[in-house]
Order: sequence, then structure tokens, then C-alpha cells
Amino acid sequence: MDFIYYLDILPYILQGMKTTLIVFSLTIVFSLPLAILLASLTTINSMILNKVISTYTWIFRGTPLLLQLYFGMYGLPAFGITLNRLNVAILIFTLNYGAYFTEIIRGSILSISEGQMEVSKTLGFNKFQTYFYIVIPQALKRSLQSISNEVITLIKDTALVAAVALNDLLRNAKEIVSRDYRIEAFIIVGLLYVLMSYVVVKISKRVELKYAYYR
Amino acid sequence: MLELRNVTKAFGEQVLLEEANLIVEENKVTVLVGKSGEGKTTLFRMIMGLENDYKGQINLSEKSHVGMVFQKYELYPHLTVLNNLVLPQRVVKKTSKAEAYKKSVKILEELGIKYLIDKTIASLSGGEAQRLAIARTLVMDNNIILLDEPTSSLDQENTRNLIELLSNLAKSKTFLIITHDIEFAKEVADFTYAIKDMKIIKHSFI
Repeated sequence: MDFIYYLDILPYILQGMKTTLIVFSLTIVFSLPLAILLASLTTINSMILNKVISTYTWIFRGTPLLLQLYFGMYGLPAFGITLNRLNVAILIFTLNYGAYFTEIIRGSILSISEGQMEVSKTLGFNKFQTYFYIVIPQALKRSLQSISNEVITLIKDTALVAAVALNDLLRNAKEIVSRDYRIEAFIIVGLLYVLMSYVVVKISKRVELKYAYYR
Repeated sequence: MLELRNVTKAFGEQVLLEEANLIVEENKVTVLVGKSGEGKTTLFRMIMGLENDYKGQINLSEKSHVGMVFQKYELYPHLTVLNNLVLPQRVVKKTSKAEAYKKSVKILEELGIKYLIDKTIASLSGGEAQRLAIARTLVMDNNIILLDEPTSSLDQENTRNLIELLSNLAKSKTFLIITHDIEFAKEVADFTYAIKDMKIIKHSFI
């Protein structure tokens, strides 16, 4: 074991991990509220709104994330929108994951019984209050499993940001491997990905357990 | 007071009520008996404003507030027993936290289910869940309470307890109950009605 070598490459790998974690966490922070909002909007039965939202989820779920990143990088400037590469990555990841989360949460909202909404109405809740206090909390709980699966996928998908020339975990490792002709960097990042997945699994298990008191 | 005047309700071709009339007396238990499919639950939904496509009038006196206990209770499973009572007060009535807690505890006490206060909804028995559903309409200051098939998922002992509870509460509250349980109706009713030929008529037990 060549500890000096590990110490030598680790800072560069961790620097990549920082980018990975930024993209990962900001994607979650932005895409979940977006999805909750869009999923709720689909239930007010406006034809135009439904069309717009379903077109959005269809496009973003129906095309490769990599293509979407390329489009964000090279296509947006053609429309006069110029963002730095990190912001492009966060925007595209948010839209992509927002589309998946929207469909998951929409399904859960539809599975909440009509009775819950009716009883709320008889108690005097307005529509917004019924959604905010009654429907969405229950729908999120029902979505937990599917959302945590997507979050684990997101960890691995972050490696795609290399496509917009961002130095993430995997890209930095690859640079080291190409430079040194040694594969230890890959092993280290493999372990780091597994570690991140492990943390997500642990957290989601804990959250699931916390809300296991009702179905 | 609650009054139905010349109420007509149809689903397409099928007429459920035609020019039906009913007066629900204050602080009494009024029971509407009959089989399912006669439009009794629909009538409740009309009174509660969940079903608005009908002809005629449903009148409430100025100080009347109607609440309904659903057949399946429809408690909020993500909230504790206490919060099932606190949340509606906080959200709808903008009651202060302290006030909402105080009132909830008082009503839980009155209904004899204070021991459930921190329980989850999933852990309640059928009888307990029903009491909580009644409590939830009471914390919202409703004085007319509709019960939809209240004995449908109760055993004999719980049915007994319900009859006792209703006779206590009816000193200060008005109840309108729909049921197909004739024995229960006999025990609990001050007035009994049935739907016949699309009218609401007085019913006498033979």
C-alpha cells in the first residue's frame, strides 16, 4: 500500500466530491418543492395546465439526461440564456428529477381517498388548506420509497455533469487514472459513491420508520 | 334548526327524492331508516354542501352549524388523536394553540376517550375512532351532527355505548342519523322517518 500516493490524490478527488455534493443536494432542494407544486396543480383539473405539465414530464422523462445537459450547455445560449456550467447542471438536474418526482407524487395524491378531502371540506378547510395540511403530507409519505429510489439514482447520475465539463468526483478520478496509469482513484471514488448511497439509504429508512405509524 | 323544503334530487333518470320535506327538531335525535340506495347518504351530502345539484331548499337557522361523521370516519391518519382535533381549529377557526389544546382535551374528556390523546389513528378500535370522529365535529362548534350508518362497524357493546353517548349529547345537540339498523333506531330515535315513493315520511315501528 502506497499511503503517500493516496494522500497525494485524495484532495483532488474530494474537490470533485464537493461538486458532486453541490449538484446532488441543490437538485433535491429545488426539485422536490417543484414536484409537489406541479403534482398538486395537476389535480385542479385545468386542461391547459395538465397538458403543459404532462408535456414537461414526458419530455424530461423521455429523453436522456445527458442530452438535456448538452442542450442546457449548448442550446440555451442560442436562446440568449447564458449560465455558468454549474448552474446549467443544477437547472437541468432539477428539471429532470422534478419530472420524475412530479409523476411519483401525482400518483400518491390520486391515491388519497376522496373521503379525506370531503371530510376536510365539511370541517371548513378550503382547497389549499386541504392540500397543504391533509393531502400532501399523506401523499409524500406514500411516495417515500419511490423518492428514495430516485435519490439513490441521482447520486450516480451526478457523474453525468462531466459532460458539461464540470469536475465532479468521477471526472477528477478519471483524470488521475489517465495521468498516473494507476486505478486506485477509481476504487476510492467507487467507495465514496457506495458511502453516499449508504447514507441516503440509512436516512430514508429512518424517515420511513418515523412515518410507519400509518399506511 | 334544519329544514328541507321541496327537495328534489335525481341522478340522471333515477329520481331519489321528489319534493321531499323534513324538519329536524333541535336537541332531538332524528333517525332516517331504510335500505341502501334510497338516497340517504346523498341527502347528507346535500346538507353538507358536497352535492349541490338539486332542486328545493335546505335551510339552516342562523345559529346552526352542521357537522358530519362519515361512515368510514375519515380521521386524519398522519396526525395523532389530539392533533385530529387541534388542526381543524387552528387552520379553520384560527384558534390559538393553547385554546385549541384546551378545548380538544375537554371534549376528549367528555366523550371518555382522553386516554387516547397521544395515540395514532391506526391504533384505535372502531368504537374509539367513531368517538374521535364525533369529537372532531364537536370541537368545530357544530350543533347539528349527521351520523352516516354509525353502527355499521360496531359490535353490540359499542353500539350500547354509542346509544348512551348520543342520549347524553342530545341534551344540547341535534342529531340526524341514517341507519338500516332498526333495533338501534328504535333505541335512539326521538323521531323516525323513512324514504318512501321519493318522499320523506314518518316511520312507525310495527
